[in-house]
Amino acid sequence: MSAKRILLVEDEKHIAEGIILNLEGEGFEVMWASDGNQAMEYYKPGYFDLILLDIMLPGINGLEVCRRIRSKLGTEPIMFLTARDSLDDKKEGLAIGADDYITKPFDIDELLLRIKAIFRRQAWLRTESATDDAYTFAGGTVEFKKFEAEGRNGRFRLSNKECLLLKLFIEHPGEVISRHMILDAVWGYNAYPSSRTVDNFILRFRKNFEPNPAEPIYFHTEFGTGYKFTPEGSTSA
Amino acid sequence: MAIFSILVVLFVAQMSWWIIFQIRNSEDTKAFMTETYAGEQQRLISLLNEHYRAIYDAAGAAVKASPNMMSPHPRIADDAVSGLMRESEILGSSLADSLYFRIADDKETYILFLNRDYPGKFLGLGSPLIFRPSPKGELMRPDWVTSDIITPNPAKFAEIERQEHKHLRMFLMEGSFFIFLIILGTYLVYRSLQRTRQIRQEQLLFVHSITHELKIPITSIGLFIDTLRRRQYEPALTAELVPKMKDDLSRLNHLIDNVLQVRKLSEKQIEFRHDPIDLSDELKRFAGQLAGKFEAAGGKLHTKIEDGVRILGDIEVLIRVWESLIDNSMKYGHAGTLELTISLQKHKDDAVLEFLDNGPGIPEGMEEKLFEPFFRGDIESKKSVPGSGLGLYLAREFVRRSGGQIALGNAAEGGCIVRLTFAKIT
Repeated sequence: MSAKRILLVEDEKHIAEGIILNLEGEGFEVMWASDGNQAMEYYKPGYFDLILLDIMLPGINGLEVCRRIRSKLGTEPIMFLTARDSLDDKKEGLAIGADDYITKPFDIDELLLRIKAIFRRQAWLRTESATDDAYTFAGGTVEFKKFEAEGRNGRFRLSNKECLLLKLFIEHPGEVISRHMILDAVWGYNAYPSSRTVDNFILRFRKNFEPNPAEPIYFHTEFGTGYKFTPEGSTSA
Repeated sequence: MAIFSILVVLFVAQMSWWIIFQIRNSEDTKAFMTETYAGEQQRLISLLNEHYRAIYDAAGAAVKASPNMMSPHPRIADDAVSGLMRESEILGSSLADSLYFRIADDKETYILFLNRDYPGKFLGLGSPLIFRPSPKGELMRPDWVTSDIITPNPAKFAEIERQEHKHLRMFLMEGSFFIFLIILGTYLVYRSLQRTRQIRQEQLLFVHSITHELKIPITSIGLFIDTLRRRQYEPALTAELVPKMKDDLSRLNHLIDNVLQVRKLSEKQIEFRHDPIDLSDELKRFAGQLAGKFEAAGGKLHTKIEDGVRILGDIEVLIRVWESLIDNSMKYGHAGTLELTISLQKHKDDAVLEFLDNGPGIPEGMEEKLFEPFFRGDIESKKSVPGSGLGLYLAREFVRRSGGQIALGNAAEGGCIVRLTFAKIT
């Protein structure tokens, strides 16, 4: 397996050097962009396995870089790396499609752990399982490799997290998936979503797959415990 | 702010209402006074008529008693006349300044009005009040005193008008003054609120900027220490990273220093010297020291320094400013290899010192803003002009207080140009 490629976008030379030393020490291949424009020059969809992104950058800032990558349909995991630590920034970062968030000053061990956790989740997403890369159930079809799905309203794009969550459901048909399992499999250490965020994912699935989103037969909410996926469709919760 | 606006509107409305109320009140007062006067006039008219009737009756009796009476009979109605006069004094009417009558002959009977200095002058025949004997020799009813004859004293009315105008003027002036006061007060309160908000925002920005700037070297030092720990303090890596950590420490120190300078400047704790300086010599020495640092970093330094340029100033402060400008150029003033040109020349009475780099220059319209404390260019990233946001602010304060001026601009051939102008001495 070839080395994981990481795009590091950081304008502070010393911080970049410190991170690069450690990432390379872990066997990752790192490309360094010192501002947002350079990051967009280096970025090629599908080339990098992870993007480490500072928010405060000269020129176009990190949030904008993230937006542009996502608008190019890039599904790479993105981790923000910044001195900003207000809740709003955190929410905004996650809202525009970041996967995790770490604030400066940070502990390098923690950063490496989180990066590995992201890779572990990605690896799990890529594992060939019973579901294979295209999975069909009564409500529609999910194509993990293309980050696409087809439901009752036609084809739609899936985000990285939606893929992870769908895969989690598909691998555990008929089982109650606890919140804890979802957090562990889908979200990063620091990016714990509110239960509303998870609900929003479920709502989107229902909207696209359920014949009647108000009375789900595939994606059930198990009050107090979590969620349950019934591929064949069932009204019994 | 909304509550504030509502209060102001309420205040002004209340004030306007008060003015309108007072104006209407004043009109009412005038109407009341006029009515009272009209009433008074009527009362007087009827009173005069009563007296008049008494005189008339007395005259009638006299005519009956002595039909051939031709001469004036001053005593006939003396009492009545004096009563009439007393009443008439109330209004100072033109009618009854004084009154007398006489019976002229058997064809016509006159009642004449006399002047107040009775029984001196006649008002004259043909006065409106004429008795005509009837064919039977009886007196006709006189024309009663009417409001045409008794007119209120115009002076009195003028007085009422004047009073009313005086009140109106007073209310209008007082009202406008109050409204002016309210608006002025509102403006002052608003301005002070704005100022408070601005100060709060500046403080927030300050804290935000400073924390961000502090976190960068702290992060990088932490990162280097972690790295060394993870690599068991490999000597080669240690040798590489320790100087970088020292750089970070000096960056921290520089930042703290700048913050302290800003505080001292704002508290006017820094004294500026005004010594004669040979700017040419000082600049050459400065450039000489700089050249080594530049070459080490792979840059090029050019100088065009005219000899014998002298100014008054504080050389330590100036060198500090130069260093900070050079710092900016070295950090951000170049795309590839840094080239910097330092030039000094005499221009009329001025010494003009310029630092020109080969960087991207500064964004249009930012020439002034960049000197504001903590201003860092483009709002979105808050970081197009990196650093603490204090460097240029301090530079300008230092230059100004040394008696010079500093301006930023873009050179025609590209790059940022910083121009320092001082008055030269001989």
